[in-house]
Amino acid sequence: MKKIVPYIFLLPFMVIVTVFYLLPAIFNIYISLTDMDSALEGKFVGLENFKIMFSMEADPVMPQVVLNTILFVVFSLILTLGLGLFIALLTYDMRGFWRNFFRVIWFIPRTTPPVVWGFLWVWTFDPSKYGLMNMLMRSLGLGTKSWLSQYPLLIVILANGILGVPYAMTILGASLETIPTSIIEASQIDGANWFQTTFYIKIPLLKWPLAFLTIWYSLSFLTSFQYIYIITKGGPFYDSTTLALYAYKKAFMHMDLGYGAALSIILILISLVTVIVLWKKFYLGALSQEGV
Amino acid sequence: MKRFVLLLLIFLITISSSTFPVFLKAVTIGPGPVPITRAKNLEIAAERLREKGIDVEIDVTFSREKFTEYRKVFALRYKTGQVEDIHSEDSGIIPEYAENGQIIPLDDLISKDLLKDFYPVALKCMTWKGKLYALPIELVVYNIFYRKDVLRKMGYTDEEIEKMLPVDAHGVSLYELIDLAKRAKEMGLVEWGFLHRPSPGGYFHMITAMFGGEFVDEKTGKLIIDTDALLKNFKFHRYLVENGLLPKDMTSWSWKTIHKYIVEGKTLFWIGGHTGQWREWQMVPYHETLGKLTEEYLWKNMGIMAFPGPTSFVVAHGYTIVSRTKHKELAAKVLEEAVAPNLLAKHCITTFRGPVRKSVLEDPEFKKEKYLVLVSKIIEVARPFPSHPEFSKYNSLIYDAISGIETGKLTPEEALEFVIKRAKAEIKDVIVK
Repeated sequence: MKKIVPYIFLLPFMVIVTVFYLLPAIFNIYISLTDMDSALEGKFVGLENFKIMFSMEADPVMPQVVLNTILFVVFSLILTLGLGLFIALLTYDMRGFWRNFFRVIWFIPRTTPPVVWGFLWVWTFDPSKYGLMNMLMRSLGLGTKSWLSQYPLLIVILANGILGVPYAMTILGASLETIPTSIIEASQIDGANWFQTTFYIKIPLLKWPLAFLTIWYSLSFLTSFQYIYIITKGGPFYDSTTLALYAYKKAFMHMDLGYGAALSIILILISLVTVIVLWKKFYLGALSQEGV
Repeated sequence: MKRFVLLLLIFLITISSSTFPVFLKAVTIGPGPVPITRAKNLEIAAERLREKGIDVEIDVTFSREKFTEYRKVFALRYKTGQVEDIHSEDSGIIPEYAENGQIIPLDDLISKDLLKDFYPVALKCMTWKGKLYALPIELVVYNIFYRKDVLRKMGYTDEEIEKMLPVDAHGVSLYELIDLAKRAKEMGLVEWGFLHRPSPGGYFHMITAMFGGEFVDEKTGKLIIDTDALLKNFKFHRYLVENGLLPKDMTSWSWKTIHKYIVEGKTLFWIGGHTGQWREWQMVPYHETLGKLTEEYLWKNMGIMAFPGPTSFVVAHGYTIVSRTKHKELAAKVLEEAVAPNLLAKHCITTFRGPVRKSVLEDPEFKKEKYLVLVSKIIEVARPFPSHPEFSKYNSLIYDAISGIETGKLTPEEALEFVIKRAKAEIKDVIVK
């Protein structure tokens, strides 16, 4: 009986996961093998959608979309974790009002509705003279720039990366608090300066939350497209189109559900590979066994 | 017991001899709150039918969702059999729904005499493979807006402007517009000669049409990639950018900025819009100093005309009858009532859309709308927006190509090659000519 009890408690969640995640995923595999369109009907076409995807002749933008996806995920991740960790470390040494002040300031992006956040970036980098950046450039006597068409990928990386910072900062900040002060004090007594304490004591002890955030945000950035859609719509041309946005556009804007589903299968595969690689890289199996 | 049986019998006879109203369901879309008359007119139509002794009730849902959501819901409701009897839609989707068998032809259901009063272009918008699939109720008319104040500064009188740029674009060529834009720019009167829309849409295809391009083969219903006209279209956009008449990052501009440039007279021509924007500029304070513009200001400083050719497109919105309905004749009667001239006139005035019936122009309230009367002159020379089940894919491809050309990532020839490759892969049975 004791052995069954945990499974009984897990059952409702397993049902939810099966109905809302597993079955749609299986159905998605089926759709990817059809030419389903807006009538929600389609005939079986085998691997035709995948053939189109990997044919330069039929889909010449696919290599660019994949490259954009890699750049977008990697640099958004670096920005989110790097800045999140940096702010967490800086505010760790503060006490009272200023610590809360800086943390609250950095939390504002997270509380901004997605559409507002997206349009803030659009307004900031509007290519006309009414864009905030161009207003600043003009006030400094410099010429205006076509930000959104010259640096579209950089801008969407900034918009997405910065949005991840508050969460990363909170997790890492809370994790820093769990480090016994005696360890840090001992290192200081031994003559370690701030950088040495940070790089040899604090960061190694943040391995578990850093591993969690890396996996979490890798998957999040792989599937995230709403801000890209609002800010650049994936353009100009395909310069800021990622795989997730491409799949969305194909499936729901062109109602090419078969091809859109095939693209999302590739996205799922990339996500799985990412998780497996990161899992091994961070020895997460061993860490979770230890219960660290 | 006998008494009970007798009473039951009387009850059943009474029920069977009495008539119950037929309940119809309809759904219309906003997306915003303004086009509520699309729904209200159906309710009024049912009321009018009841007054004529036809017992019909209608339950109309007015959706404020965006079109993509609205269409997703329609597809799912249709699939599960819960779909409404009447569904309002834009003309662009009609071929897709017709091919899917989701809506039925109306040719045998709607009175031929009634259809005679409609502008042919309005009916053509709703026609696929020779059959009428929706009864139009309004038209979105694509046009060109130009700044009269700039032209005045260039030395033209009001009479000369009207003669040079007539509302129906009769005798006007694209090259004359380019010449005017160049001169206005050289004189330092405007920042740009032209601005176009920053998203896929009819404008890009009107340019193709202006160069003699075709879109759909009427006999086979197949989509045409008209390489000659497309290449000219692409070269035209490249030319505008290279000569500083159009911003190279036009596809990155926000709508708000575009409207600001138009209302402040920073561009001579606004070639990516539709006639309804006349109302938008009176409702939204785009102008830095004037805020919302008055109609008087607009009449003084803005002019409207059809696209040269004329190749102005119109997109119709109308009522379709869903193929799963059990009451197609009755639904058709409701539609006939809903397109009564006075109802359509009120709808046009509220929504600022163009009329679909000639008799709407006789409505006393409509006659007072000087601007809408002017719009109807463009409708007389307009063409339907190209219709094809996969036109949205073609639409996106052309926009992507233009975006590549303007930003210098593609040459016009490379853009054409890109469009052909992608169209062959994505669109069934495309004709490349």
